[in-house]
Amino acid sequence: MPLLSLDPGEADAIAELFNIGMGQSAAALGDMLGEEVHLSVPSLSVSSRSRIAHQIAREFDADSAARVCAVQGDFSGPFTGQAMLIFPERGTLALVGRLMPVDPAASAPGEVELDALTEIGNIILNGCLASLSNLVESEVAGALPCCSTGQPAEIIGAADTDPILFVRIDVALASGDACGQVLFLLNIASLDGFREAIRKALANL
Amino acid sequence: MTTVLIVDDSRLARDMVGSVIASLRPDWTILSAAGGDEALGKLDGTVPVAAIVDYNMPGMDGLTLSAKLKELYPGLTIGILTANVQDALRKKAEALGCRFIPKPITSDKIREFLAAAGQ
Repeated sequence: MPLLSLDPGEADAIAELFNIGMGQSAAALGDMLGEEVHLSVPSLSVSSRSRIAHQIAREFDADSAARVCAVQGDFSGPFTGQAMLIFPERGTLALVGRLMPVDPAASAPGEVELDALTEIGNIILNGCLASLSNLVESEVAGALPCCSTGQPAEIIGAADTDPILFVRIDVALASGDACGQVLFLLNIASLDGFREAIRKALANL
Repeated sequence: MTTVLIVDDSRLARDMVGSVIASLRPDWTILSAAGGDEALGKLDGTVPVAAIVDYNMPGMDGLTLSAKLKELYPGLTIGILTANVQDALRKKAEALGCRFIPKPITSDKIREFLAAAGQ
């Protein structure tokens, strides 16, 4: 089934652009943490915030961590939407613990830990968007990401069933104790601009 | 007949690498595959002069495929083409005797790779 009005070539191109963008970001994060960062192959689908929230909640529940920490930032340019880095609370502590001492008895991150996660999110999300912007030779403006904690439904939006283009990349530290996700929720209405930008980028090769 | 192998799950990436090689070496045969198993099947005895292999692919990753290719063709020059530009991966690629080619691809990177392959 075609992905909305995207042909398979365009869908593949979008996934590959995010793959390249996240690769650069993962390298920056790996340098910062002093540890290899594993990335999954990006997946691309048409979904809704409600469906994505359910999916994420189901996956993280298996880890017995219903609450998650998320760094979110809106972006606009040839395409608009929201970028999100999500880690379960325990994974957040493990991740942040690479950068600063974390109380081993803590079960949920506090303000300082969330600050550190926000910076990690900032590096990953803005790094990825910056690479994307360079690839399509068009500015992507990102708002400063902010951090929140809660159930996936509270963060992603449980009631919103409008279709969006959903790009997902799983992120994990090599030692396996911090596994999260980077999500890009792209407004369908902005896809024409994205398609145009990709065409231009390909024509310039 | 000179054959080069391109393996990447992204069609865009395969097409990009393929078009750069076609412009640099118009008489070469380009064998492209979307994954490791497909690549091994398509080679079917053909000895490529070089291979450009993506790292992050569903199923067999590029390092696993490269190890298999090195077993089959010990002298083969392989470039691990990847968006994952981390040093950890670069070291793993180099430990296998592969070259590391960071995405996005450019004709300069391919030219340099082919020169390293003695082509």
